[in-house]
Amino acid sequence: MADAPLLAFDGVSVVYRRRRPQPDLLALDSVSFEVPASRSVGIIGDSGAGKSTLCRVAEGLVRPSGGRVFIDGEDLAHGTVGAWRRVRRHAALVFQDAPGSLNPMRPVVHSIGMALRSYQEVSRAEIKRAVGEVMEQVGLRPSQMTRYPHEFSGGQIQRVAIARALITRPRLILLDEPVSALDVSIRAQILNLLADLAASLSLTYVVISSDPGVPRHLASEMIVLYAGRVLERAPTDVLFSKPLHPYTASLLALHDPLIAERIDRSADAYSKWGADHASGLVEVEPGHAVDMRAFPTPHSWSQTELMGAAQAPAH
Amino acid sequence: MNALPDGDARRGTQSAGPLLDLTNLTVRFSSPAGEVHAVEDVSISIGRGESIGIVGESGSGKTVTCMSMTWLLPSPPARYLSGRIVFNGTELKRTDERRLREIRGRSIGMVFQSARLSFNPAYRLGSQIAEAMRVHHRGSWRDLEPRVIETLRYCNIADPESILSHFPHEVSGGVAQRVSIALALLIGPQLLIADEPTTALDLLSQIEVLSLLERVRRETNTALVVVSHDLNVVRRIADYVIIMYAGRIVEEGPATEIFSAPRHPYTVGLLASAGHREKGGRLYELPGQPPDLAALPPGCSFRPRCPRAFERCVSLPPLYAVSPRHYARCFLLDAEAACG
Amino acid sequence: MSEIGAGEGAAIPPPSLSLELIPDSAFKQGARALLRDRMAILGLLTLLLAIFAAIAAPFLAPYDPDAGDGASILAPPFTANHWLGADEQGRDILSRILFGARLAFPEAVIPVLCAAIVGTFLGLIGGYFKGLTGELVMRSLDVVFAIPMVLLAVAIATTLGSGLPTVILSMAVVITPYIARVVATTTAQLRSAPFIDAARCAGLSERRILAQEVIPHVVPAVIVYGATNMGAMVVFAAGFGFLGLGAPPPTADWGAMISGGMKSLASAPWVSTVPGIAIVVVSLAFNYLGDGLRVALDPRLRSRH
Repeated sequence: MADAPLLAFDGVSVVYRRRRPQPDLLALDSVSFEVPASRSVGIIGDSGAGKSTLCRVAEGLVRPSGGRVFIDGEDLAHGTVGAWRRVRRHAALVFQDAPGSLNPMRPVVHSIGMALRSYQEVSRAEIKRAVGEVMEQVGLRPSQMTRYPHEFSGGQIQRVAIARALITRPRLILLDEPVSALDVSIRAQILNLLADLAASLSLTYVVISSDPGVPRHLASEMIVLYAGRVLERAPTDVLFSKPLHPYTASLLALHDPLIAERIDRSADAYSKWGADHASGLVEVEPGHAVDMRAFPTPHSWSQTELMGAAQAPAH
Repeated sequence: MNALPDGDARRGTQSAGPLLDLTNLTVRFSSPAGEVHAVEDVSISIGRGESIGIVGESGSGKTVTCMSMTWLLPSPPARYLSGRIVFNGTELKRTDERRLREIRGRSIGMVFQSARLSFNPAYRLGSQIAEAMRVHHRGSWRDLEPRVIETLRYCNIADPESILSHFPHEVSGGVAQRVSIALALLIGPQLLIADEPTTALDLLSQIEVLSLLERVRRETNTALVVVSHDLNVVRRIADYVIIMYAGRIVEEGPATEIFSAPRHPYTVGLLASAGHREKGGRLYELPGQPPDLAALPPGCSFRPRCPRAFERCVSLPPLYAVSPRHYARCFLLDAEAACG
Repeated sequence: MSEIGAGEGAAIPPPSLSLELIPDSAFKQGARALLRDRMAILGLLTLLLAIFAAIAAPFLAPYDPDAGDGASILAPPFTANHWLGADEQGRDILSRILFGARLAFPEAVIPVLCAAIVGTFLGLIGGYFKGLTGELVMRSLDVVFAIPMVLLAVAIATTLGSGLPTVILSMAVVITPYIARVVATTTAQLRSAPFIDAARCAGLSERRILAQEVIPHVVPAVIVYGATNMGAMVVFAAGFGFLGLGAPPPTADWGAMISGGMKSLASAPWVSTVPGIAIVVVSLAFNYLGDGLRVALDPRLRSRH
């Protein structure tokens, strides 16, 4: 299908059954979104919000309990192992634990070239050439491909992980917390690299991060996840200038004090929120949808107080 | 919300002069790769009720510095080449364990990055708090308990009585961190040192911990030292900011000046990297990576990554004064002054 | 506020200098790491020497190890006739030590090799596959765990008679579950490791993952465990000999030599002590070699000097 979105979730839910007496864990609750070609999507929210689960469902590592998962227009929610293997070359994943995603006992050329080997019969020379090419694209020297993962610094390992994702020339790359383990001064390097690669290789990203600033540079559209639910969805600049949900506003305010000043703190801004709203997102304006059900706040705080606490004093 | 209960320790001698004066701290570690210069010639002065933020990335030496404020680093493997600490007018010697324990018990509280790690998982929170208090405060648990409950309430912990009977792993990270702060407040209200207090927490807990720290700063006379790699955290809490790189202080000054007019290229780069550009614009990036502390380049450690390095930078710059309280360790300031 | 721009005299620095050079191959790195460990090299040389001595025993031994000389009963060591003394039947201890090595090494090495192969196979199944197969394998291993080694040897001896095959078989059977357990634990941990998931994402089939990712991770652990265990096997084998379950007398067997010298321990301690020292030395040599191998085979450990 020529113009089908590269990735689409339709009402995806994931339930983890746990041993009694613990209740089942609803990791994803009816999540829906689309990633059209060349329109990267950012997914933000806390740890434990279900972001990693979302990643794993999109890569076929976890089977959803409900809903449909479309890759290039094909529903793979109940896809076979073979079907998933086939699509994975078009949708690659950069893991959150980048060092852990590399086999420590093998040189990096093994890990980077792995996807090539599994899809076709290629000679070792061909693999070395492809690995070298992709290493240069991410700013690493090909001569270092025989090094082991532990010999690289944090930023370089992230580049190795990106190189690995690039080797099958995918059109979609899922990035799970791509810079959270890196020093602040290195993050910008990696984010700029990702932006450059998106432009030069026509890549579309799904960027997942608990720091809103990370997807901000790479994504055209943002989705806010909390406890497995989509709370708000809007184009990036709209979300950052006019967040509607108090949780989104708090998240952004914590991240950027300048945003905090622009947020509407009056009590009646959230008077429309409440338990009587039907589930699901309400499209408040074109492209901007919010879930208006009551939102759990820390024990003694109202939503206004939560907003107030997220404000930063002027400096 | 309740006020922080008065502790007898707060009625300390109100002598003039800084609360904690750390001078010329130099710490090295021996490692198979060579000698690691963790901290080089760091001096920090903390006034009463002042709140200080120490910013740095991994390898900057900020944690070693903050642990050294009460000689908490085991030595060996740490080697103190120099360093003098004067707390409230008394010099703290590394060797005087009894005096150190007294100070740590009565006057200086510490909060670590993972509150769960600073509590023993085998004992309930209540008994750990009780044990810590019993060391330094007279009175039975019956006498001390009300104060504990009050302080926990001050820290916005719901149902403090039941929290005391929980084990550390049974409470969320945010609650554990606030219990940790409460404990620190109970035993050391003169100075509170927090090492990465919000790093391991989710958003809501971060907001709660930060607002608690802000409250402590506003409402009490407790001096605060917050160490973090997150500029936003420091921006909210600190009056005075110290930037560390490769074991040295590269810039320090009042928070307003640092955030609006940084002078050291590293600070400028750090603030710019964390800056907020729209999609499509490039982020300012600092090239290279933090240096290997066992193989530091001669002179200014930032030189290999500095876009404005010049010949003079092969020798170590001293701290130049930008304004009465604002200093930066960079020869550019000297050059500028010379040019008028 | 000073603007940061591309200043004069500034160059974008290259990546960390240590990565400029082309690295050595894995084999060279491992060999170099091993050579750096002096105790491991000492162990290796000791073992090579001992193996050589065992092979060349017929040429090196001054006397027939089984022939007793009435005149030399309990002769003390450091004499011209008997460098290490003679035992309670007048047999030369040095010769018996040399010939005893011909039993000690097979008894140490063969059981471990067999156990390594079988144990690795079982451990991979038990650790990697959840569900019935895995459980079945692990529980059966538990049964074998419960059997005390000596009892097993006695049971086997009643069928096969005492001797080298009995000892080897018993030790192999008993050691297998230990190796299987090590492999199963490692494999079970690996099953949820991020790089295994990453391999799945790269399109590898489960079989290829097992072969290319899991086994190379597990093999070094087995090699190290095996090498160090060989040292323990020497001691166990001696134990069997001591109990009379090993090769029948008058065959020279280090363990049997110790038991033979027990009666004269006060008057002629060397009869028991010398074989005891031989056991300790060989066992330690295996252990140090195993330690050295542990560092040499793990890329993370060996580059840390």
